[in-house]
Amino acid sequence: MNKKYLSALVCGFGAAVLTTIPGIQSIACCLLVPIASIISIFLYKKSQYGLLKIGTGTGIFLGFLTALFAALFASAFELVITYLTRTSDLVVSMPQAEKLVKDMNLGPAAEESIEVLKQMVKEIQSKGFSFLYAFLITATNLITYSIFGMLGGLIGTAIINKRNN
Amino acid sequence: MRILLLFFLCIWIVGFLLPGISSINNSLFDFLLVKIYSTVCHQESAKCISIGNSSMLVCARCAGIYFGALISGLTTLIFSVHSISRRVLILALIPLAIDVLFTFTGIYTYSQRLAFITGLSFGGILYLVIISEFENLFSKKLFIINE
Repeated sequence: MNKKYLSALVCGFGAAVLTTIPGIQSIACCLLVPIASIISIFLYKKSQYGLLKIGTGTGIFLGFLTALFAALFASAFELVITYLTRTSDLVVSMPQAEKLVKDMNLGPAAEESIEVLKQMVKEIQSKGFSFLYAFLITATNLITYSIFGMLGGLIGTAIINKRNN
Repeated sequence: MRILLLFFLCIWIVGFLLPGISSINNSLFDFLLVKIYSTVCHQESAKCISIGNSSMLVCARCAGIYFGALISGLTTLIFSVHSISRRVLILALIPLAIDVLFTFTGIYTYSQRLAFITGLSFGGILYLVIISEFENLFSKKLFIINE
């Protein structure tokens, strides 16, 4: 396997594992994926003997790859946990959302959307899996992690290159 | 480049302020919005700054980082950015790291104000690093094209 992908795979997997541990995210917050990207670049540089500088483009690409792997693994972990426990944060927050819509009489749009959410909750509770829920989780993870991963890649490249200077 | 980055940053900031500043009442949209920001923040209600009846979708520290970046972004529209030293970035990270460590170990209780301020300084410097790296990247590309 290309070493570029290997360091991204390892760090992406590590970041995804950390997202599932309660309490870790309250410490690392939005810096988890960028830190994983920085470590990925560091590992990549270590694996390339004689490499003095990493191109910014390569750094951003590595950050993106790390984020991509992190998003895929994190989504997979969440879906597996949802399947095993037949619950998720959506199921937990559903009664509150329903009460809000009823109390505030928010109109047909809100009621329609709550129906979609209800359907997801129903599927999660009965089958442990909802296609729409899986899609939404994966899509949101992919989008946000990619942005933060690329930023991490950019910062990581700057840090590592300046260290060599 | 700077304006484009600032534009995306503004969209991101408006996103997490949305529950407080707008009255869009669509549960699916709310769920999506919460999910998007939950991937980058723990969203513990006690740590989120409240606006009226609702609270921001990110914690005070994250909000500080983004607002710090916004202040830097607005500043870079007027002033030029020189390459930021790695030491400056680490110096900006130290107060934030100390605050995280001290609240985590229980040396003092969590303060939204302190978390916001430490985030603010780090976010500001971080944005300057990002913008200077982006400009380096594009100036090199332009140089290669001109050559």
